Amino acid sequence: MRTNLMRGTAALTLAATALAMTACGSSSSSSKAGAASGGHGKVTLTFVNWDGGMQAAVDQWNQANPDIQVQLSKPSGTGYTLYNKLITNNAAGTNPDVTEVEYQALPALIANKVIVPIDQYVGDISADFDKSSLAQVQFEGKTYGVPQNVCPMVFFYRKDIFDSLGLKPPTTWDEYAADAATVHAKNPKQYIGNFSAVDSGWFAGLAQQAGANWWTTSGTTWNVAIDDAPTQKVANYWSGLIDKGLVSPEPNWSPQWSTDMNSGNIIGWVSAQWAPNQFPSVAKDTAGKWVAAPLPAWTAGDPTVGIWGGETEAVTANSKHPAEAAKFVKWLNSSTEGVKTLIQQVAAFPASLSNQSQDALKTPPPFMSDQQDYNTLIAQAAKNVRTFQVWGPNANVTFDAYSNDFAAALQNKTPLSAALTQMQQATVADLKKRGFSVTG
Amino acid sequence: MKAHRRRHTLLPQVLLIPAVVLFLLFTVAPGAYAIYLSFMKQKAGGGLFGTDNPTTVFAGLENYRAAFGDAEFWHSIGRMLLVAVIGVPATIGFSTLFALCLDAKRTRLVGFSRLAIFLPYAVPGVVATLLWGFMYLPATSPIGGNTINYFGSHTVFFAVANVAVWGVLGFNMVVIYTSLRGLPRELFQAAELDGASELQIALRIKLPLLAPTLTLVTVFSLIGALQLFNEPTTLKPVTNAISSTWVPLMRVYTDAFVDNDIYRGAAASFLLIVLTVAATVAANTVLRLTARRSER
Amino acid sequence: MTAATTGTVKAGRARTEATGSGRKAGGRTNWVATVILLIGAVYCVLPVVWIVIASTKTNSELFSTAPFAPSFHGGFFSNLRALFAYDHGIFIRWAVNSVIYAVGGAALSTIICGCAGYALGKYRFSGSVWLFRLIVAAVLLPQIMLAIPQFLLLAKLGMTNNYAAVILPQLVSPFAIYLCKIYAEASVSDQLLEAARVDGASEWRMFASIGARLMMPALVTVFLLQFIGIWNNFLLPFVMLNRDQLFPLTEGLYGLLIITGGQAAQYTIVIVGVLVSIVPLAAVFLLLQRYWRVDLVSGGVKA
Repeated sequence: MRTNLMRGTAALTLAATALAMTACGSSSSSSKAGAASGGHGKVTLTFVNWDGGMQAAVDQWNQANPDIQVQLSKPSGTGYTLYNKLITNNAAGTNPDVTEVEYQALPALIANKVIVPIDQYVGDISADFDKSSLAQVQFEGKTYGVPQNVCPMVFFYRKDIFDSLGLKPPTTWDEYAADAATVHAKNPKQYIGNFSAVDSGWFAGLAQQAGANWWTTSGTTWNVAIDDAPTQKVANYWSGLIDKGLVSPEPNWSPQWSTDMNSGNIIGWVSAQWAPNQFPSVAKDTAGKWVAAPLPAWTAGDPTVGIWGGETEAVTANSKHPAEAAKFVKWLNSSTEGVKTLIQQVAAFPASLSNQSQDALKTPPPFMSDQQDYNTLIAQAAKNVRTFQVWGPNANVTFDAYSNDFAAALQNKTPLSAALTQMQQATVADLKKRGFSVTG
Repeated sequence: MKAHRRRHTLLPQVLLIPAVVLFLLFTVAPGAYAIYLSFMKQKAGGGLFGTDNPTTVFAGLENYRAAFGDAEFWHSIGRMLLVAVIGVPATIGFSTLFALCLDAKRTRLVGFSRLAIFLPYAVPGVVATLLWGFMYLPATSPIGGNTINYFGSHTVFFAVANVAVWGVLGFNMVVIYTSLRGLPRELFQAAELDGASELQIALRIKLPLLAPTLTLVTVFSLIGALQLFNEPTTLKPVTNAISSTWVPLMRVYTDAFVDNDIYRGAAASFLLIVLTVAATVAANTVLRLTARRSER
Repeated sequence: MTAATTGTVKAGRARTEATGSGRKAGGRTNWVATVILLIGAVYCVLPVVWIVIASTKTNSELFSTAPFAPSFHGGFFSNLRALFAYDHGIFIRWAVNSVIYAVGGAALSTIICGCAGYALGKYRFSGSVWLFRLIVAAVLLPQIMLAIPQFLLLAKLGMTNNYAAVILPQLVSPFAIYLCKIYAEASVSDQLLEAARVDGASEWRMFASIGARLMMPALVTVFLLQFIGIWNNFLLPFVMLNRDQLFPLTEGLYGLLIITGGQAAQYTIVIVGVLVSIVPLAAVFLLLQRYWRVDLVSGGVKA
């Protein structure tokens, strides 16, 4: 009751001030609802996405669908910056109709009721996607998005430098460690790669390959096992390399790392399918020198890899036109035309099975133009993707703990396995605090 | 002051209405709302994702206990204080020095120097930090980042303090300079006639007269230090030395915008304010007591 | 201003002193002070010089050439073109938004705080001292603490995500009200007001024609302070807005810089964008240099 009173008076005064505000020429934005309800049959959807090249796909849709116009907006922050904003704005009702969501964040948005199931609009999509892709978007029998891409991890290396050192790309992690030592011994400034404490998704991908299962569910109970044996194995492996100073501790995308990638001080990158999209802004002049190879394996010949990244488009609870929004999402990520544009403009490798044989995939991304079979390599890796059973509803907390605890471990030269324990504890404590049923 | 009650007028009250209304709406109300939030928490409902009837429930002091009992919270306060211990004296010292130099006789290139030192004030904090980030990192450093590790476990405090000092130096210099220009010139001339050097005038006459201004500038700098946020936040992605809870306000931000728990964020920030007020009151009392003692 | 008071000093000397600090006078240069200031100037300008140089570089030059070696391979103009072409020229929109937020917000804020400062500085009424203290105490509140509840309250009224949501919360600044109060006390003399009262002027006319006019130089300073404060504010627009068409420069450039997920940071665009956004501010500084007088204690606006 008290809040009602406060709201009433606040509204009055705010309205008065807002009136005065128009004097300074800031005619405030036409609200989304207003814009949308303009024409009778015509609908305008807002779409938040930060991928370069997405505008091309939107333009194509808009041309073919004059009654459902999509407005693309780039967010001021990507990843969790965006997701948490979506969560906060959900209450205000100002979220866009459609948003990009990376797979690992989908459960958090579901738990906060930011996005809605779209089964009734898209029907059964299970025929066109494999199990691991569906597991990223389907929970408790409901579908929350149409998977856009698969981002298997792959290893990129400077072929020219590897050749001059007489090295071949490592096929196992043991070989990777041995090569790391060789590279660093020849030139103490040179590293085979880096360990990035800012990219939790990267480490999660490596753990997936080793057989980790950070989150599992039984009924409505969450089981958290971030410090499980496979993850410990991965952490200890990298601890060994870091202790010996064989890998650079610089975070991905820092100016320092970019410089080292340019200068040839870092000659390898444990990355994922989308890396060719990143290279031009990191080390443009090194084009033609990088070659992609399968990710090193734990056991020789085991093709299993984890994923790093990957996204879907989801429809928000704030959307007044969920049917139209879902239609756009399905078109974008599973129609021949939509996916073709994604392949050509966003350099995506589609999750949609029927589109994995598109002709557009025969051309490698521009940065890899010397490696004609790039997408064949990716297709092969995509078949052997292993993911966690599910991402936790508080993966944001886990990821933040990763960036703090692993960074501190690198800074203070303490074992990574201890940081893993802290991640586990932070995640469990947060789930309990929120009132989830949790073991682990 | 005595003259103002002569005529009864409502003008001052009328003039104050917009400010008071806006103050109530955008400072008092959100502040009160934040305090309310700090005693609440979100409780997941049924189902795997807790989406069946999630509720906001009264949490008592749970959020406060969580912040109070968290060693990392106190560490973040310690780090903030360390940056303040480096940054505040540097800011006050150098801005006073520059202001005195501007005010000194026969100084050349005053216009240029004054503008140059003031320039960083025009650079947004986020941008300033980005610039210094490039200055620090070995790969791009023009200031010896190859030999000095600006992001070492100890040097990082200087690195952060430096960015903050850089941003506010010019503003404080202008404040102090303005106050210097307001001092009666006759005093300096008399001293000069008595044979005092420029340095002696600066130290013995100008500096003591600046005391009230310097006190205020120090207070504002301390408040600025408490609100340290932009600089470490922007540096975080480029170094392993800074965590997302490095200073108290980063923790508040992380609670609210990363961990999506505005309730804990509100509790932590309210706790901070209480600590700040307590520290202010304590400092005030100590100052007053020492002042009284020295009068005796 | 000081000339009148130096009557007892010898005439020749008095002329020197009359210029104030006497820095324009002839004689030996004060090398110590000059050098100290120049060192300070270099320290402050260095990173800005770096921006200018970095803006001439292409992305790969940025990470492969010496930090202070400019490039003349057309990098500057291609960066500039890329900046203005980015996302259909949204940078221009951000710049216009920044101007709207900063000019609109600072102007309204100066009027509101100026009125409040005059009322608190020139009148005593019950509660006035208490009110002043309460407002000033608010400088202790960190913006982060207020931003989220401000957002939530505005959200309940459906008033987020527009220009007003960014401007309204910044209109009342405790620091600005504090300055306006001490400026009103110092620059609007009681005798003048008293004389006007005797002449039968209304309180309102005294404020409008005497108070406001005398406070004008101080109000310009407050305007500039608020302008810079709003121009540089990042957090509030970040919390309040979620349409890139409404972003100010700080938020837009920050968005270009952020680097998770699918898109790498656009360093060259950000750097040239930073340069372009600093230039108008530097120009405002130069033009209005004589108004940069912030006396925290006496409120005097002396030459």
